[in-house]
Amino acid sequence: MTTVVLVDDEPMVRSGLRMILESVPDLRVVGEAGDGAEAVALVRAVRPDVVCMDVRMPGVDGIRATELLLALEPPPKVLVVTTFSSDDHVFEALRVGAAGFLLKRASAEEVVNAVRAVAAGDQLLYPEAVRELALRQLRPRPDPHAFALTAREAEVLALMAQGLSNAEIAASLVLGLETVRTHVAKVLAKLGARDRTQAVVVAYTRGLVGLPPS
Amino acid sequence: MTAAGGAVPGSRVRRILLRTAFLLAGAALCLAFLLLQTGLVQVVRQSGVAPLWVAVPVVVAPVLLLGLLPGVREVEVAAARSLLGVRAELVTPDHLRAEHRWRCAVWVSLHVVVGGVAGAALVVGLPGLVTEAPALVAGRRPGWWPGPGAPGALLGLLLVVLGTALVVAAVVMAGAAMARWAPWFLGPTWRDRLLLAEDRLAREAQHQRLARELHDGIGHALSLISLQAVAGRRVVGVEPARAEASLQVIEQTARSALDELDAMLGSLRDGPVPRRPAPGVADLERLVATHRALGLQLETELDPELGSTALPGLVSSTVHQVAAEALANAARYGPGGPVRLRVGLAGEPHRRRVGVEVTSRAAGGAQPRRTGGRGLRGMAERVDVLGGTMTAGPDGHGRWAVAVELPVPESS
Repeated sequence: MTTVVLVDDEPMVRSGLRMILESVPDLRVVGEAGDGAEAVALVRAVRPDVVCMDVRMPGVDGIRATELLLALEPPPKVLVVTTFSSDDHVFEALRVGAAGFLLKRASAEEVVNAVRAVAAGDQLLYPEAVRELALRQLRPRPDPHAFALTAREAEVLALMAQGLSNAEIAASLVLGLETVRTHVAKVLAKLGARDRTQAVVVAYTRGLVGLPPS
Repeated sequence: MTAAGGAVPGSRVRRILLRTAFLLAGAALCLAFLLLQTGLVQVVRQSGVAPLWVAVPVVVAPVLLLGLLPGVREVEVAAARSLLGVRAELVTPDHLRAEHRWRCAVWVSLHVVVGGVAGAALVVGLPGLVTEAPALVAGRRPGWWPGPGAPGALLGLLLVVLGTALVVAAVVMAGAAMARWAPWFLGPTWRDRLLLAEDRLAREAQHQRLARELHDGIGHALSLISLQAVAGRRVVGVEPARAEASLQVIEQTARSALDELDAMLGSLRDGPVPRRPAPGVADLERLVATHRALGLQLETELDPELGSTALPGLVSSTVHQVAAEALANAARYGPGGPVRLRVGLAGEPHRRRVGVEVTSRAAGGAQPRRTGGRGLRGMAERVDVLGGTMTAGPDGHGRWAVAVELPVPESS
């Protein structure tokens, strides 16, 4: 069972998400908050696995709230919920450590899958959109050797950026699943990333993968 | 035929011909002035009432003044575009400032002089060479030849060819030079660019407001509708009551979003919202009142003469901007004694200057931070463009002072 807290200043967004998430047996909404400050108090009290967080809110906004939540021990996974994928706030939230993001216009399956994927932490959501967001930011200074990744680890990171799961990476590189897990863990450790989304964000901002040459 | 591209030989010839036409137009004007000069010289010489040199300023002055006549700039801009093939931006402002006027006058003089020289080379020089050619090639000695004997047939031919090439090259280069100089004389001045940039900023701000309204209003409503529809469909089988509630949310959200869209489209349809002029000196009182209402302890000294003096819009708005920026900085550094704002006129009647001075606590030596690229530096650039001076720093009494002085153009 995965427990979820919903944070959005619009109650109708919260009620919609609640109805969708509670329609499947493995997800349970354990609380709702209307702004960032309320969210931090609530999460401290109920300790959910996942927080669905609106980025644009009055008062303490989603980015600041994400930072505060990730400072808790143990930190919840934060899934950013947004109206537009091109919103710069989304990338900001990913940069401070959100585990992924979800569009408010997503289908029920996408909503449920997004929460499950974030809880499991084994897949990057919307790899294309993450790439677009990274491209909108300031041009990174490419520094492919910054983190002393091995050739294999760089390869694994590139596939993570494409949104492949561990199993898919294993199949693609003809490696065992355990080996891939080890590589992923090493990449996260070397990049100082809390999860694969953050690793990919770091990879884009430091020019480790796939940005066209400036 | 393509436009002057350079690569196609045909277009190159065409461009050279058009530019030569531009020079010949200048030559025609030059000829008119020369006729005037000749006539005057004769009159002066015969009557003997004035020294001969009087004829020179009497003819030079009209050449310079020609560029000041209404409509001449328009004609020159049109000629520069169509004949010289200038692609850079050229402007014909509705309100000509001194800068526009003198640049245009110099340009017209240049057109007349360069055109006159080029025309003389083409109309007198080339035919001269042609008439001398048979004699030179035949090996006879022309009167101007410095050497004792005749130059010889081969050397004569060479002289004719070289002379022709020289005249043609000079005319082509003169045309190219005029095309190159035109933007400086007829293009936008720095002040024009500043106004243009401000115009663009205002339009950008309007776009941003529209984008924000679309994002916050319509975008929000549509995503809410989508989300509630997804949710309602998910529960309609098991919890019809909740599904109905979703439908209600969808109905209300859609309706209010349409109302909002209606209002937005209405305002767009009414055409561009008349641009509010940038706040100026007349709005200083309101600026002061706003800061006082926000709790800033503010002492002011506003020159009463300001109310009766018509400052150009750009000077007036810069004064307001400087005051607003400096007061915002002062407010940011919090309490620490009163802030003083002084705005006043100084200088003799024809060289007036308007000054703005804001002094505030020096914030423990900390300098006011630049605000989004439009802080102190943006202010300094703008002041510089207007020919003013700006200082910012400790005033020697432990306080921070920002002082700006701007010249007030005489025409105002």
